[in-house]
Amino acid sequence: MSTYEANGFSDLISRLNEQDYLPVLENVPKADEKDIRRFKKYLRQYFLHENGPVKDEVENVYPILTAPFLKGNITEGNVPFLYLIEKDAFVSLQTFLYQQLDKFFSESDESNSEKAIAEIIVEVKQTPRAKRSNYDDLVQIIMNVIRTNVNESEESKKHCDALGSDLLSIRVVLLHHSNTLAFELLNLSLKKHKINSEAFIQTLKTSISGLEELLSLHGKSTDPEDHHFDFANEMISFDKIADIEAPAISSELSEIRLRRIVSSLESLKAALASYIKQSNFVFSSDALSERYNLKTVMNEAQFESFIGQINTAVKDHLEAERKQYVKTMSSIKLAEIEIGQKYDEDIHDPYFEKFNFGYLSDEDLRFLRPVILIEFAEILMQAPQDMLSLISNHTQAKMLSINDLQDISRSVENQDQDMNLEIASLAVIRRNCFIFQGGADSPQLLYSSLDRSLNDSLPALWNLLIPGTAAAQTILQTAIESRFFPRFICDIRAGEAFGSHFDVSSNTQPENTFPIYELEIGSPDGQISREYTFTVADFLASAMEDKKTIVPIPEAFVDDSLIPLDEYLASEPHSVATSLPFIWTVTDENKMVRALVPLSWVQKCRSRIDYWQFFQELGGSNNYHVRQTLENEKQAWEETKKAEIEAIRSELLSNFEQTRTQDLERSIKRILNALLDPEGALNIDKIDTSSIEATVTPVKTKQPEVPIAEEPAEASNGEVTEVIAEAWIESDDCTSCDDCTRALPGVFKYNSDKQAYVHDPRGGSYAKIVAAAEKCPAACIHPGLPHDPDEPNLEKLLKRAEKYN
Amino acid sequence: MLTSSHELCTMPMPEEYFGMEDYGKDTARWCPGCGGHSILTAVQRVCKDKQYPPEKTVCVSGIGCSSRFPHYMGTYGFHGLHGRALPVASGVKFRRPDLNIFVVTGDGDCCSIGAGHWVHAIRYNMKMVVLLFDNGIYGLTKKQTSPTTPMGTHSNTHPRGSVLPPINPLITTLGFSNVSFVAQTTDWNAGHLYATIRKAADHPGLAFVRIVQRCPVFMRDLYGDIASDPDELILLDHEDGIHIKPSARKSFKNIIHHDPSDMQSARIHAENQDGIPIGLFYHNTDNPRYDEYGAHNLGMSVHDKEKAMNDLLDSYSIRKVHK
Repeated sequence: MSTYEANGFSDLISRLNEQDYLPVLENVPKADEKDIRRFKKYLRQYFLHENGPVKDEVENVYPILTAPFLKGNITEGNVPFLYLIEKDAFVSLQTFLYQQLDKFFSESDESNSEKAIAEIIVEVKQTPRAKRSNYDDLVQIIMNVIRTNVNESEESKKHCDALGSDLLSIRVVLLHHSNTLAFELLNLSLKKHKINSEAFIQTLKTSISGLEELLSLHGKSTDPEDHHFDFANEMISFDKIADIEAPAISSELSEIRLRRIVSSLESLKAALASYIKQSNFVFSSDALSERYNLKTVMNEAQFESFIGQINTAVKDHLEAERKQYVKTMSSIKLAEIEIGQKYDEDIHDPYFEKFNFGYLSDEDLRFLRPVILIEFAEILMQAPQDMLSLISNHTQAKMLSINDLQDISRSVENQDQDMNLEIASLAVIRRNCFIFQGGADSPQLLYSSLDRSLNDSLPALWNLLIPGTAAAQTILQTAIESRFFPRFICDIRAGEAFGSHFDVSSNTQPENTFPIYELEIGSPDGQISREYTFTVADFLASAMEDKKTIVPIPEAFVDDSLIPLDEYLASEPHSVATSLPFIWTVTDENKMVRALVPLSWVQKCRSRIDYWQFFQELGGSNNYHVRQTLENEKQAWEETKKAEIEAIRSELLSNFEQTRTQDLERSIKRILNALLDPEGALNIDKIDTSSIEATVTPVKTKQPEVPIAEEPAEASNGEVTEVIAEAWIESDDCTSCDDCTRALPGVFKYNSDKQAYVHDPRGGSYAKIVAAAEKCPAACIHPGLPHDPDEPNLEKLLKRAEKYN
Repeated sequence: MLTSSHELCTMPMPEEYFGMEDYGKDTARWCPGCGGHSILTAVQRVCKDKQYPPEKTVCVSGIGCSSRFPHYMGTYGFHGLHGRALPVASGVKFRRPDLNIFVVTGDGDCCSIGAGHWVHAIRYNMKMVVLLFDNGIYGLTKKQTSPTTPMGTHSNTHPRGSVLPPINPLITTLGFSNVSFVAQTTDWNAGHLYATIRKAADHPGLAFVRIVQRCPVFMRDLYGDIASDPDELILLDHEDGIHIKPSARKSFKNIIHHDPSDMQSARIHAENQDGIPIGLFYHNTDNPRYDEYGAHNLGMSVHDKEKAMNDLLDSYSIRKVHK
């Protein structure tokens, strides 16, 4: 069970069946067709407007792939995990216990060790959060369980004590899945960054001591105050003037050089003091700071919170910081030259005079202290131009944009636009910015990204989804799994080519629109395995569990017009206009039931897919142009192969034909031979072929003398037509004028195209049939011959009918 | 759960297969032998074959015998004002581009009082099928001269015979700008009629179909003989034109090859006085469509509309500048 890895949740879902989870699809007799139609009407109304009769008394259902998590059968988020400081890695509690207790329990005691680990995990789960907030508490719990498991001999007690002190000696941070986890991880990486910045402090110290040494060599005080030149006082204070003049005479240090060195020394000392005090800065808005208690959490940084215009405050700070850094860097460079006695005024004077930010290389910028701005994505997106200008103009600006799941649930409920989720795509346009998008559900991934971008001079944007409460951990995972909030990394240092910067591979099945899972279900035909898609609607249904926006459709009312949501989304909108989308859900008793997804959610799904495809295209996991090129290549290849096959086929055919003709000739020769000379039948070569050729060839080419009996020639040109005995209609020409069907309903009827045909030629008198033929505007009724020879006036009628037969 | 005692579902569900009965309603109360019956059946057949959902189909008409058409269709319908079938249909199409529209208009409705709209509807080229039921007379008012009544016809308004030459709806329509589909057929050739309306329904813009129609009560003389004499019809034939069954084709004696993309030739055939040319005169799928310009803001939610409206109004407001 590895919650700290990116694919942890996906692993859990794909192993759902192992957790005694078996949804059951029941066989239910279909409802009356009329009822189905009525129900479908209600469904359609609900689909469009989310109201109507089907909304009432809706049963509680859960999406099929997240049900065990939502029902609390699998409470993964409740188990803490650990950060091993020395190894700089995260590890689950279970793995940690396996590693540590391995030594304690001897090999023979393996079963005991497993039992103890299971007991510890249960114990940890049951202990309230407050009582296991740090590692010491955890060790306490572990030791309690172990003590109850071993015998009470003195030796064992000693052994236990040794284990306890061993455990306590490991440098570990205990972490929980909570809404502040992301900040805790940031704090951890800031701590690590602090250690890295020791190198810079060392550089500063070296430069300072070098310069001091230089000054002392020339008999100068290293206290900058002693060399403080105040030109206003200089004019009135005699002592000062004496002081200034003295070194110029007594040493080879010129006044200008001295001034240069002292001023550098001054700025280096100031920088050193500042760097020792703090190696990074974190700013956030007051509201955010209070909500997540950042003042306590961010103890590794200089933390400040602001009310209102946070951007301006950060900008000012960034400006000041940059100015100071430029000054410090120029001092370090100058110190280097001075200590090496290489300062050439003609060359170096103009260089240092104009020294500015542009002179600094990436290597120089490595120690520029990061300034981290933590703010809600929603607020950042209110003024996107400010955000963009911050990350465009300031390399050390790192922005942590927070999306709280609670707020998202609310905005989905209100059907708000979800622009603020898309802050990462905005940052993509600033092509020199490190971007991380993901959730706090995968600490390893988040931590390494934070660490990577903190130690780089590039600006960064971390767009994070955090759970509103600790219990929302599962919902957070579903949000990421369903592509509602896909993981995305843009790492400028990953490679030279532009495309190599983007990475979506940490998502589950990144080549698919949605992840697809195989799940075993119980059905009337026994256990079968089926594929289920994890869609955005599954996330929404999991997140909005209480709102009952999806409507379960009783099995009895199901018909072909219901199609799975993923199919619905993949189809052209007009082709599914008459269908309704559904997702699979389960009830409290694990019975499978389809649930209707309303139109508003379908639209949400479409917008999220769109967003995901944007990342897919960038990350190359499902690139349109690649697909197109492959398609073209495939087509070209197929055409070539087809031509080759055709060539081979025609060659084979011609060979075959040739062989066949030869064989035929040979066979005929044999037959003839047998007929003419039965005794020599088997000896073909005996026959005089020239005489046979003459006999055989005409048979092959000559047309049969008797033509195949087809239609008589007269019939084809239509001049002579046979009178059909019974009345008939050329239905294609019928104009549906109702004349004949009204006059003779027994004879004439309409077909499914509402065109008349003769239903029963004996259903009316010949006189009426003839009259109908005369009245027919399309003249397409043919009365035929009378069926009753005793009908009066037959001769006259036949004469009238002649025209229409 | 629902019980079968509720009689609420009155509308056939769209996900079904639609049969002819889904497109029919009431008994058509045109005179026996009227060409309207044939056209009604043909339109219903086209709807069925294209499986237009009845609730996504609208028949719009003006006033006249022909304009009773929407009453007999099981779809939505609009029996409008005299001469105003085309503007109503344009309005429907403009706001609901998802609907399939049939406009039914007569020779009086379209060519007389509605002639102004005729010009512009053709120019707008919105996707719809316009069926001009041309029987050459005002039948509903018991035989009055219409714009297409042949010269010299005795009617209630011209007892001594009409004095003006009639309008040729084909040559007129072909003269309007942006015309994209003009065809002519007759009511008594059911196969050709169906094929023509089917082709018109497939056309992406406005398809204008003049249907030469018999009025057995008031204009028995006009097409009575022609209907029984196949020699009077001239079939315009082309691979891009109207396709009819080979058996039906046999009954036509006069067949002329005509390319429907050739406007010049279309005009020449439209003016043919020797018989009734039927078939596709002109067809061009590239013409601009006005409904495509109207559809860009459809699907906005009430919230979006409100916001857009407020934004627009706000752009006129005077703002106080804080310093």
